Parts: sequence; C-alpha cells; structure tokens
Amino acid sequence: MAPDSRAGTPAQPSDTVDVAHLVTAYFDLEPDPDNVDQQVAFGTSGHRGSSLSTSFNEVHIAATTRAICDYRKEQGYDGPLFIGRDTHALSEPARATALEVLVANDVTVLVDDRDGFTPTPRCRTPSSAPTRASSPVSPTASW
Amino acid sequence: MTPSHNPPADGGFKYNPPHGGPADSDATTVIAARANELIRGNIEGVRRIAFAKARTAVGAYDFLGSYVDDLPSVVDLALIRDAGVKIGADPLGGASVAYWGEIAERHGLDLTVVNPLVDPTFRFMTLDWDEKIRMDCSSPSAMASLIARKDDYDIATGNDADADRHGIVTPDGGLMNPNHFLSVAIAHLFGGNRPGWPAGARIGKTLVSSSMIDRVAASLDKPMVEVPVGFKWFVPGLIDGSFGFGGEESAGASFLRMDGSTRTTDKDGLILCLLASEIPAKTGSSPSALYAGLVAEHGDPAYARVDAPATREQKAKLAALSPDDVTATTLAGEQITGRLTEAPGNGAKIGGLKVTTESAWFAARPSGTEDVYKIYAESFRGPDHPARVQAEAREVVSAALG
Repeated sequence: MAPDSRAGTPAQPSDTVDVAHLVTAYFDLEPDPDNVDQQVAFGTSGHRGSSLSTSFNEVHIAATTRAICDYRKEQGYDGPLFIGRDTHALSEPARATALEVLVANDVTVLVDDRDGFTPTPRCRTPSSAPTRASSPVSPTASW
Repeated sequence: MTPSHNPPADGGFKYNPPHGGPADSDATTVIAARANELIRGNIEGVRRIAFAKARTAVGAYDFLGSYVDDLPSVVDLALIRDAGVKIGADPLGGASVAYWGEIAERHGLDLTVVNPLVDPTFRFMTLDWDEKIRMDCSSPSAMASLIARKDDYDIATGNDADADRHGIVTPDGGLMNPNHFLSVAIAHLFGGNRPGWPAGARIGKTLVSSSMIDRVAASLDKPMVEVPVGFKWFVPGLIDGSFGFGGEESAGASFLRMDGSTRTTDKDGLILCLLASEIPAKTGSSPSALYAGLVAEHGDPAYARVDAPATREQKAKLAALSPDDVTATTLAGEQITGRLTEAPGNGAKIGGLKVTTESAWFAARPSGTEDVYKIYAESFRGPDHPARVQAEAREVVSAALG
C-alpha cells in the first residue's frame, strides 16, 4: 500500500456514486450481445455487474429471470420463490424487473412483508420456510 | 438481489434452488446460456406485466420475524444475555440493519447497532485497500471505523451488504483474521458446547482454509472434511446433518441448530457474529485470546495469497491437472506428502492443485476473470516460509503445465 494511500480513511464526496444516474442507466443502457463483457455471466454467486458498464441492466435481469422460470419448469419446481434485496441502489430496480417477469410467468412469489431489506441467509433456510404438502418439491427456491 | 460486499455502483442477482444453497454449475450454465440467447433476441417473448400489477400479485412473508425468533435454536442467546456481553454490531449500511435492532430487542441483548444508517452511496464507509468503497467485513481498511471503536465493546462485529459474511473485532486483537476465527469457532462448537449434535458430525472446511483447523480437529478427535472452494459443497452435509459446521476462509460459514437440525444451507453472517459473543460468555475469554491459546498448543501458521501470470490455455490446463503431472518430491525443504487435484472430502475436482508437506501446503487455482492463477500457501515454519513455498509452487506448477 502506498504511504499516501487513503485506504482506511473516511470516504469523501468525490468517492460517492451518483445514484440517480446509476438507476437511470439501469433502464436506459442496452447490452451489445456480441460484447462478452456485457453478457450474463451467471456463476455460483449469480450475475454481477454495473448499470454504468452495461453489465447489469433491465435487459439482463428480465432475460435472466425468464431463464430461471424456464429452469424451474424443466426441473419441476412449482413451489413459491422467495425474493429479497440488499441496500445497493440497483437491487431495488432489479427486484422490480424480476417481479414483473416472475408474476407474468405464473411463479408464486413471496416478498418481505415490511418491504425492507433481507439478508442472504434469511433467503436460504430450507427447513424453516413454509411448506405446502401437495407440492412434489420442497417449495423453498429463493434468491 | 445483491452484489455482496462489492462497490455501490454494482448490482448482483443470485438464484438458490429448493435446497436453499448456492446453485450448482449444472443450473447456472443453463440459466446463463438461456439468458444470453434471450438478450440476443431482444428479449422478445419474455412475458412481463406492469410493476403496479405485479406488486399486488405477490405474497408477503415475515422474513425478519421468523429469522430472529428462531435464533435461540442455534446460538445460546440466554448465555450471552446473562453474561452481559456488550456487543457492537455494524451492518456497514447493509441488509442486516433492521435485523440487529430486532435481535437486541427480542432477545434482551446489550447490543448497539453501531451505524444504523442506510444510504446507497455508502458514504459513511472508510475506503478499502484500493481506495474504493467496498462493504468488506474482512478488510481492515473497510472496517477501520469499527476497529477504532473496539474498546467500546466486548465484541464488535461487521457484516457485508447481504450479511452472509462476518467480521469479528475484539478489544485485545482488533479485526480477527477469518482463518483464526474459523479455528476458534470450530474449537468451541466441537469442543463440548453442542451436546445435541450427532456424535459423528463433521467439520467442513474448504481446502484453502487454514490447516490450523486440521490440527484442532485432530486434537478434538473429530472428523474433518476438505471440499473444493465454494459454499455449495457444504449444502448436502448441512441438510442431512452430517456436517456440524461448514466454513470458508473468506469469512463465510454456517452451522447446525443446537439439536443437530439444519439452520441454513448458505453462509450466515449473523449467527457467526452471535457465536463470537457466545464464546466469551461461555469461556470468559475473547476469541482472539482463545486463538493465541491454539497457537501455543499447535503452532503459529502464516498464510499468504499471491497471483501469478497465466494465459487462458495455461489456466485451462491447470484446472484439468492430475496428480501424476506433479513430478516434484520436495517443497520448501520438506518431503511432499500429498498431491491433490480432487478434494479428499468428497472426491470433487479442485479445478487446480494442492500440494502438502508435514508443516506447509500450497494450492494453485486459475482465476475465473483475470489472466492469473492464485497461489494460496500456509506454513507452520515461520512468517517467511510461505513466500518460499509460493516461490517453489510456481516452479512445481510450471513443470506440471509442461
């Protein structure tokens, strides 16, 4: 670390992102399907990117959500899907896009009853999730 | 929806199938390919309805209440309350913010939410090592403001933005190295403090986590299982109760309920933070003091990670190595005792190489995003020895790649 590094010091106004611009870019910018940096790269930790670099935009989330709907159908998962969000600015518009696609594709979706933020482990608790006896699959798919 | 600890301009989208743990590559490959195909077709045929309509069609679930009320089944909150452990919890502006206040309220803990502010710029953070804002609870730079207040609490804890990871700060030790806290947590959980767990419950670790865990497991005579990097490898064992604990060196872990039943099948930063308070409540010692005890008993391992350049072809070859490709017989002055390209615990491919000697090891894994491979190394032979292990690891890897 350079001796004049600002690591560990409080963030300054110049370090902060323009949130309104970030959210507008989410809806405004469309990925180039031939640019590998703008494609969906869905690994174990899911898809990551930023609206500013056209790697995390409305089109990515709509397409990925539809792909998850298709995957659930192929696997025979017909239980409810739990969805949560953290406090990153893009988590809320992405959640809205996902809900629009999920509901239109007849997936039962459960959201936080306080409309608040949801830690990851709260979405990952198979045994304490509500169950539906008639469902052939443990209805605990979640994000 | 979360990009974990990553900077404020980032977004992330994860999917966990019904087992509740991270999706395996058979799911993620199909989903990514289908999503890119849809993007190429201008997402025509992706049915959508207006948000106002979608919003009214969803069901409501009490995520917070059901989580918070279940916590006494996994951590001894009564013990923490009765011992009067003074806790400071810093959500780093993330999703755990409302949870910590409720945990304190419902379970009567002496817990202060250090910074309850939510702001999507995360302007209250201290800058990470590269001068970026990053909500990394295992980074001394990102955690600097909490570390500065370490003497205000018996235990201070941080979580990343989606709260699946934990950072533990003690008055005597500051921010604990994640490997050190994992070792202490395992020594506590398997050292007689979970009598309700099955007798054969195993310790799950990734093969790049500290071998201090191996020594703790051996001294407690508990079975330990080494899996490749990634929490998904712990999911089956946490579901059937054969793993009591699963943890990664990147400060992500989970463990069973007191009665041996499943709590979560993904990392849970909140229960690890609460465990950090159960430990002094039970033992009277801070987790960092207990780690010093482990060092006195087992030795003082030094751990390091560096990147080495590799082309795309070299990375592919590294990921597909077999043990026979390793011709070296010694490493940094010791006989090589193990050459692994599959994890010993479950036979799964490492996607790289691990070489062990009596007191040291290295693991080499290709980076998924950059033209480098990562060399993890650890040694019980002094703070300078890992660098020698890493230097010789480069030679071993180069020879193996031909």
